[in-house]
Amino acid sequence: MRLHSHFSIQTLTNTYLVGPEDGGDAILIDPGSFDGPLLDLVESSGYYVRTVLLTHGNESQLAGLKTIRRIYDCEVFGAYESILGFSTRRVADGEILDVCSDSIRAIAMPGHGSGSLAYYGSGFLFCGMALSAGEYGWVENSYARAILQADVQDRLLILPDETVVLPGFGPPSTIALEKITLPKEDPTQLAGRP
Amino acid sequence: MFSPGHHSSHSVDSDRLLALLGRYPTVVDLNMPNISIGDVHIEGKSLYGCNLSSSTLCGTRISGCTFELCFLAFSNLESVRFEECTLRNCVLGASVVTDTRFSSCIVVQCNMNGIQADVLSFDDCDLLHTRLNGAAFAGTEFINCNVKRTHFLRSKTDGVSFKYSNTEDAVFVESQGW
Repeated sequence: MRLHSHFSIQTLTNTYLVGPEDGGDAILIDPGSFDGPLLDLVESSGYYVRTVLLTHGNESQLAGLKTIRRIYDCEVFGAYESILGFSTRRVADGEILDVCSDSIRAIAMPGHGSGSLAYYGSGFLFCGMALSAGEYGWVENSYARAILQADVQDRLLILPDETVVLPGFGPPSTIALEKITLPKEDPTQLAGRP
Repeated sequence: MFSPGHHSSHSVDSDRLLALLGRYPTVVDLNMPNISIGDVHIEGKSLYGCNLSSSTLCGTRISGCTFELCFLAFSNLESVRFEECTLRNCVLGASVVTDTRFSSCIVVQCNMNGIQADVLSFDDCDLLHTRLNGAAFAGTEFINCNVKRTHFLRSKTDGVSFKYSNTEDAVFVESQGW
């Protein structure tokens, strides 16, 4: 499998494209936009977008969905039954998705929001906005941050050290690197508990 | 792209790597962690999706090269010279960068979190959307650089020189967020 990363200038977010080295059915993760360069990347690689994985319901992660659905007959996976008016295959925590000859495990990240998911497969972790290199995802208050921090520790940092972390925003990382560069904060202090 | 955790299919040693770089202008999907090369000049090459984590590249001069989705984390980059290189979506985090120099480089969305810098210089570089969180800086200077949306969270930047650099959109404290 080959991984491609596309940076959207409009939303400043990352979209990832995963497919076989010699072309074929491909997976698109978080299409924050679907612009000319991304279309060129898909087509020049000989891919057909068969699967779209959404880590979040935020528009910055899925604004390109309408365009994609006009071009490709693809199945969209996410935490909701419907997104932008399109029916979506709702994914549960821990569910294994068999897509494009690959097995991908969905990991719910409720600390970042009820509709937040991460996807793990083939040594890659697509974590959306829940985690970004050396930083936790943005949340509204310290209590939510404490829950998110616990989620990251308990659900993501238990993955193998060599796992490549591919966030929706910012540069890539690895689990080994995140273990030493994420800020160490006491969740109980964050949540305002004694 | 190399498959993390599976080192057998494309593993190469240092001599093999240098031979590959000597023969081909573009190297893709190589998995070659823990290699050790030094005092060589790598020029005009393109590396995509390569894993060179935990490697030692001491004294290496790298000029006119492009690195994309390459991993150099936990490496020793002592006295490495990057000249007119483009690094995009690369991971250099937790590496030792002593007497390391980046000259006229474009560094886009790279992860340099937790680097241990001692006499590190960026001269005439664009560091866009790059992370230098939790870095230890000693004798570090950014001269005539653009550090647009680059993050320096939890890094002590008191002694860091940003002479002639544009730090306007750089993020130094957590509350600025992203």
